[in-house]
Amino acid sequence: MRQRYGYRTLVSALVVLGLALAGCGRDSGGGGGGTQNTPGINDTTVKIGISVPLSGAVSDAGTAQLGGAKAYYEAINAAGGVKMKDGKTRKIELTSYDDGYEPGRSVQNFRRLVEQDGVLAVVGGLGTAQNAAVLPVAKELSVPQVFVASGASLFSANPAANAWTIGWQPTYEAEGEALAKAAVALGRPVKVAVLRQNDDLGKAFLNGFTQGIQGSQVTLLDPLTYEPADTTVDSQITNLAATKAEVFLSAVAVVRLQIAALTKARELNWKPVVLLPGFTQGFATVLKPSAADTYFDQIYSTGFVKIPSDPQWASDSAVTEFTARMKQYSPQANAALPNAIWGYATAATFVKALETMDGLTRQNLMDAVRKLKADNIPMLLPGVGVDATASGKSPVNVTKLFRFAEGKYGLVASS
Amino acid sequence: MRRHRRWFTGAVLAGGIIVLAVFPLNSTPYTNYQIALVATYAVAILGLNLVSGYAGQISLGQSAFFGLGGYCSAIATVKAGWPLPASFLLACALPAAVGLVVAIPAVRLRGHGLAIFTLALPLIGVALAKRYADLTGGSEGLGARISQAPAWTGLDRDQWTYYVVLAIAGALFLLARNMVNGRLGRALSTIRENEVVAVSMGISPQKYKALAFALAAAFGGAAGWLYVYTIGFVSPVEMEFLLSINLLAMMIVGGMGSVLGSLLGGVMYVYIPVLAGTVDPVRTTLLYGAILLLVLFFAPGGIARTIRRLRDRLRDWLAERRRGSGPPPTAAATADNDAVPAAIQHR
Repeated sequence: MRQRYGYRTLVSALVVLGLALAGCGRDSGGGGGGTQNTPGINDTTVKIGISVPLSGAVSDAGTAQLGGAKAYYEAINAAGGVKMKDGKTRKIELTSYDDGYEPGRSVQNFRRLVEQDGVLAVVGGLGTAQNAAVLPVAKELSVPQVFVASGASLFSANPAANAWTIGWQPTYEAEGEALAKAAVALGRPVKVAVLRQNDDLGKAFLNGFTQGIQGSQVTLLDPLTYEPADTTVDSQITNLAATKAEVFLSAVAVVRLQIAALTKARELNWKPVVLLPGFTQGFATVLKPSAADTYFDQIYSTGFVKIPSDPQWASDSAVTEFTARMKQYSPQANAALPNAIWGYATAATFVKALETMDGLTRQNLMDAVRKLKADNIPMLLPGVGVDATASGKSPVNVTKLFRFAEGKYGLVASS
Repeated sequence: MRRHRRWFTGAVLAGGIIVLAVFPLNSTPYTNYQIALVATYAVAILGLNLVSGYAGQISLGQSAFFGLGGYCSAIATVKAGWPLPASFLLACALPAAVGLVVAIPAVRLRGHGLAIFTLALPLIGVALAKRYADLTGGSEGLGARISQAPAWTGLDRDQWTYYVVLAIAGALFLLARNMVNGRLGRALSTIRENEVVAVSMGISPQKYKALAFALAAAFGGAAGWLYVYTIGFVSPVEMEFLLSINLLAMMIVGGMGSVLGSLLGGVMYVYIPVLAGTVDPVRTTLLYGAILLLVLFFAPGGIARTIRRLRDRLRDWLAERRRGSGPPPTAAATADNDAVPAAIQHR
């Protein structure tokens, strides 16, 4: 009995399947990079999309990233829109989806933005793995995936192979290289003790540093590593302190562990010149809790954006404008997170690209992006600009060196 | 009457298959991939259901097997140039082997020992995947666009992906259904209800628990393969602990000890965030929690079991009407039916 009905079902289903397959078809799927009637752009609006984590463990960062971008676009729209080369002024319509920091959902969001929402481009998505997963899809659909918020080099490294993707902020390598300047500038033979994360992020950071010290009197001791899930780095710090190195590159990307590392070094009476990555440079978050601010004589770190809470920018017009716009358009986002600043400046970069587009296709947009050179992007430090013409480098590829003194980071003039 | 019911079930199944077969031909690639993802996560939840729902052992390590299966398929095809079927077998076999090795000591632990033990798997998995970056691509992940529609089908990539993923998932569901309806299912639910009884019946709890764990790992690995086939990418994020928790939550909402419940869990895993996004994505986690609580309050045992109970009630009512007058509906029988544990009641 059971057998018979199962068999019938199977046969009928297969017949129908066969008929269906033979009879049906559909127009070419997806929105290709056609030249006529480019999706997402008409005489009055430019539709763009973004996928960020709005839920889950990194939702704060994602909300800030989106909030920053939204604040800039809304302000531009309120002022009329983007004046493009064809003489028309267009408003920007931003569609955002939550990916929960899951690469699978980032890919699906990208497809949804392209197919259902018909966006011109996806701008400023957050996360390394998330955007690495999207990269081949962007290539397949010929849709721009521009100004990715990640320090990994792969997004900008190979424009020939990944024509539809480009990063934005300085890479981890660039950051490591900038920190190397602080060690080199000591002007004497010094040994550098290194603690780095045991993955490609840590490796990229150290690679940049190694490049930066080439041909100088700085020598690198064997680096030690930690895992992000570690609860302590005491044994690593004890070993590093025993080397009596004059410089300590504490390339720790986890705030909790950076506090532990600096505290342990202080307890062991080790007083090297300290070099910190941008992730864990904060005064209130790292230096104060570990009492490193009063113990170490020299602390250096890097940066490329103006920090609104820094008193030296208190009357800077770009910073006051940023703070006001964040309050007006994205009150739910934490404007103190670097992601808000990145999102904002990324949006400004994209608007510059729109202004310089020669036509209205996606290819025209990518051409404009690859030719983009601008020094007047808001929130970037003086001397830091966008230059996407340097093949293989991220558009923002200058990182400045800061020295911590008297409760705040000050720009090192020569950097 | 039984014959009628079989015909009805058969017709529903056939109708479902037809709808699923024709559907991707006119829908967008986004929707097709979305449904392939539903099938993918449903398989992962199905595996989890074997060990947690049927055998009653909470496992927090399913994401590790999911990720391992994903890496198996990506590395075997992209780096080693294996054919797809071979990579699928590897993606099932390697997680199963790892699952067995872990299970042999773990099943000796009673109570929540296994849960704690399996908690370590995603943590170790993520660390290993990041460390061996030459093999795994590190935190940047590994791209593997292994799905490619053969030219003779005339299908687009998304349609082909949809058919392959649904066919494999369907086969795995059939396999699991047959397993839990047979000796394995009976043995596992006996162990879950009472280990002493199981031993007295000649069922070795340790052997069967280890087997269930290895099967769960194999299904998890297969789901990982389906994920890479659909998304074309795998990274340490896919192994993370949070996925294990979400799969577990969706299994409970869908229905513990239920094959249909696993499918419902997959649907909800994919569509709850989409639904939440239309209201306020910030509340996604809240919505997950709310749905979980609602189900626990109003549909204990999961949605699948509630559906089955409603269906049974409807059938009884119909039978009663057909019979015309007579004694009132067998309220006592219905209540008895509810009291039977889901796994035993399950057909």
